[in-house]
Amino acid sequence: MTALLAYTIFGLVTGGAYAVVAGGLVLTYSTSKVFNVGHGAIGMVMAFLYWELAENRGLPQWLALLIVVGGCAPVFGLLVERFVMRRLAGAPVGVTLVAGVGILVGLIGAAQVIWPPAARPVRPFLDRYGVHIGQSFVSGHDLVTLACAIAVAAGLYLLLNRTRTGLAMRACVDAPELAALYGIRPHRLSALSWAIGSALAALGGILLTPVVQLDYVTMTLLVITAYTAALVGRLRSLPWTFAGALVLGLVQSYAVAYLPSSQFWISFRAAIPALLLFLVLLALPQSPLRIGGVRGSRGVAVPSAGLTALGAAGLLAVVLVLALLVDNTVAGQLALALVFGIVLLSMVLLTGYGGVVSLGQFTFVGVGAVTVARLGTASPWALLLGALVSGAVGALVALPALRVRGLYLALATLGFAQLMDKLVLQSPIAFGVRGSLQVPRLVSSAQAQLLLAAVMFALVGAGVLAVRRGRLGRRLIAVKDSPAACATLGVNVRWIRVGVFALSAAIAGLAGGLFAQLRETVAASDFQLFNNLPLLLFAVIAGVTSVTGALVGGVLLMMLPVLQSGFPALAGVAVVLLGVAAAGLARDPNGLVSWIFRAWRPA
Amino acid sequence: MIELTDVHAGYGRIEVLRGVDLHVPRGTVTALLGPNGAGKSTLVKVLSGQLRATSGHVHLGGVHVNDAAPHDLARAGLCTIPEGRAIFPNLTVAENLRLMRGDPGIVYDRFPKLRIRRNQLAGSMSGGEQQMLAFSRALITDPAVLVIDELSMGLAPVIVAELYDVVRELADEGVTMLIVEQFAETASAVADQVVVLKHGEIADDDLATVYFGGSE
Amino acid sequence: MSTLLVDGVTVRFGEVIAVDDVTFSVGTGVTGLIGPNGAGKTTLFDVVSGLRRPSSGRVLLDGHDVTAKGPHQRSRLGVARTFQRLEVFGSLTVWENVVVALESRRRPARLADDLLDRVGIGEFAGRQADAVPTGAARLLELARALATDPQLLLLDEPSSGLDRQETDAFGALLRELTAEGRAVVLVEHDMDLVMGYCDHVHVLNLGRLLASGTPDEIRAHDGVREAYLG
Repeated sequence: MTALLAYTIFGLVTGGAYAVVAGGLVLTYSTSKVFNVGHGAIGMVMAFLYWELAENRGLPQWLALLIVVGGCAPVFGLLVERFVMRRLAGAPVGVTLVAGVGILVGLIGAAQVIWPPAARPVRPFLDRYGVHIGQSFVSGHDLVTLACAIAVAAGLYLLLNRTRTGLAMRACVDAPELAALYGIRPHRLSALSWAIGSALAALGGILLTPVVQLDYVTMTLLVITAYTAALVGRLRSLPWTFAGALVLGLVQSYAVAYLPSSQFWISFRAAIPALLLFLVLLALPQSPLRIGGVRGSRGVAVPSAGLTALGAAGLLAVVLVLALLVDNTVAGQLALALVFGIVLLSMVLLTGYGGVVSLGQFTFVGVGAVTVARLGTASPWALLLGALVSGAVGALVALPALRVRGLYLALATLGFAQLMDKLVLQSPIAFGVRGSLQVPRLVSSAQAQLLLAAVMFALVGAGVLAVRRGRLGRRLIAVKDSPAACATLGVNVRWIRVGVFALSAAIAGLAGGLFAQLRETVAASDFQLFNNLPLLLFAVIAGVTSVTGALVGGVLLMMLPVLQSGFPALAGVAVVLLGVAAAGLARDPNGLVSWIFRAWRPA
Repeated sequence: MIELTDVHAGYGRIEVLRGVDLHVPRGTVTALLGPNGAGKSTLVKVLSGQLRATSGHVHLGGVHVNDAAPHDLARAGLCTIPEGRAIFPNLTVAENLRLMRGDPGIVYDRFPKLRIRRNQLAGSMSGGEQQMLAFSRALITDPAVLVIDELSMGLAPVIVAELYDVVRELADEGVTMLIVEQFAETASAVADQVVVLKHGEIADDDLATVYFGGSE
Repeated sequence: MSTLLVDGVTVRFGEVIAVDDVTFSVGTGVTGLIGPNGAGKTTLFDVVSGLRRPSSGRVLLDGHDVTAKGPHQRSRLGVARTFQRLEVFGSLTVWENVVVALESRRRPARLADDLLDRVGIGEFAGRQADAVPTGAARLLELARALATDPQLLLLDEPSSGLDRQETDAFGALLRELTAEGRAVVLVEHDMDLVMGYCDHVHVLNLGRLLASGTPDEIRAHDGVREAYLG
């Protein structure tokens, strides 16, 4: 009985911290309609800043907390709103998501530059105090966390229900255009909500630090839990969000207490937030087909079959020459760039043509790689099977996930990615107890690997372009522009979507197989959840609507770790620049490549 | 008071208003009628600052307001009630009224149904009650200029009559008004001047021709 | 037997009743569906084309109950429609828009040019569809609907955005389509077009069926005059 009480208290404390973070997320989303994927990253950077002030510079804890939560975080939120989010008003979901991913990646880069990896213990609040409830001890920090959660809940309630400003905020959520006719200034309210939202991200981050350690990625991704809570409130209801956060905290706490501690259940426990995220999304009602209004986008010109063949031949010729000129290391790196290029080709199909934003594409690379590694043979059939398994997993996810659209779909893919990450890729199921597997190669030398990758890229690229020129491509784009019209013309919209999702997953799986063979040893650490985010970022920056964009993106993706190991500081700066570029480029889905094309062919 | 001179406006490549001239003198009521797709709502959006005119001039009370934002115009005394249910559905009736900055008592006296429903979410009321609530803003904000788009749309005749009683009172008080309706109905009865918009231009057709074709 | 039977259809959006127990049938020829804004015309089209499930009531095509069938299944049963708020595929060319429709019914793509010429927008074939004038986009939706070779064609305000000459050409096309044995339902505000080309007219007001009859009967109907002119 006392154990139950202790775990309940612990669950409420964690849930309270989640609630603080999730409340900020809901506030910013509901007033600006931009779902800030970087919300957790803001909390992460602010927690680092708090460490800097309270631990490194020796400021009193309360003062450091006040400076960060009351000063730095709100100002940062204001800047983000003013210079990024305001420009994205009314932009499609994919664009706002990429801007958020840009902020996230940029902040991680900045944190790595300013605070290089090191152990950074953070003292809990009121660490000399605490109370005994029955036989369980509730620390001062826990009490502070609970008090903060209650204060935030009460504060937000009073703000939204008892003040004119809060009333105006809720009015803006309901009908922003009408609110303007009432004389309400939407920008001011949006700025205010971003300031408060960032402050809450900071507060939540700081409160969680003693529990989860100060780390760039862990803290950033911890907010998937907050996303789940926010989704319980349908991204608009604060009471439901708070309830969702508390339930999540409790479920996690009870899972620790009462689930068996075998290997599987340990993985399962870690996957609980993602599982719930997925379940909550599935419980949402099916998105209706939206009707009304012409949408269209201008892709880069689609090359003819002849031009495609010419391009493929050109690529192969260049790669052949390079293979003869460069050493093994560089050949391996170039091959890696081409393999990443194939992953990005899968996104050209899915995101560029189909308009579906996936935050889980790298997971399918992992599925393909594991399949090939587990088969342990070097036959071409292994690669094919890797693609097939990945495609099948893709179809399996797509069937439930594609009931929802846009932002919810993107979040469902992220939930799926985390689920796979915890249950499969990071558990012994995938890479065994040692966490790594040997992969026999289809072709042995690095040069041959490079040529194989080039041939595969050329084949898949030509295939993607053939799809675009043909019947399936037309349908894909038609479904993206107007699902309602497609349905009334006899197109089964659902199967087209599921089909393209599976096909795209299969291409990513093929790339995964190639990746595994190229590496010879693949490990769980190669397929971390976080890798999904730079993938989307690079796809969009390089250009997600063209094969050339995929190639450029692949090269950029390959360069990043090279830069990171050689010049860590420079890599951090590069990542910051990437984040900024994404926020700026997000409005042009054709990416850098379209600029290059335009420069070549001045209109 | 309201003065449109050769106003062109549209969405993207599509031009909806093709050179509209319209003058509503201070303290008078103008009814703007016309079939669907004629550009009536676009004209309201241009007036309220929601849509920028591509060319031409918009003056309100002698001030050039082509570039003014909707919230600035609203604060300067322009009350626009757009078409559809112009309320905040997830706010209660009382909260909706609180946003209007005025004495809700006036509204409750005029529409007693709203007093009964004051703690109910506005979106859960009937269409007629929602329109009463939307229209309340004309009552309690004491506007200098009132623009109403399709007040009677989708409403039963009894409710339309009730709303137009208030319109008539406001007209008698001397509020400058532009009333946009798809059909003649009661709008022309209140109006000092009736203007017909067709294909984005002011037409001089008579009403029966507009609605029942030239063959009559 | 009638082509389409709408049987006691009611559609509620929360508390608001958009369509209230409406029953009517549509045979071959041109049937007009008119009424003030907000009368429920487009909602009825959504119900008939399968984009919206009615809260109660049935939709029958050639005597078969299709209420539970999705939009793509109804398309295969010969229903096609256009949209009041345009739904062209903006990223595709005008030609590709029609080809998508042809391919979904396994008809050859070469028919696209004929269809575009037939509605009179052959000159726009190579243009991206979000860059053509409204009138052309409306005609494109018509060509796209015709590409599925429909037996029942639902046209939602096809003449808005067309000039006088285009409207006349559209009227002539309507006659051709009915001569081919197709049933056409027309939601339209251009009364010249409705009175001149419809064989039968249904009038909706406040979600209810106010009157049904020939154009002359409708013109003389007191309730209709009241709803329109007050």
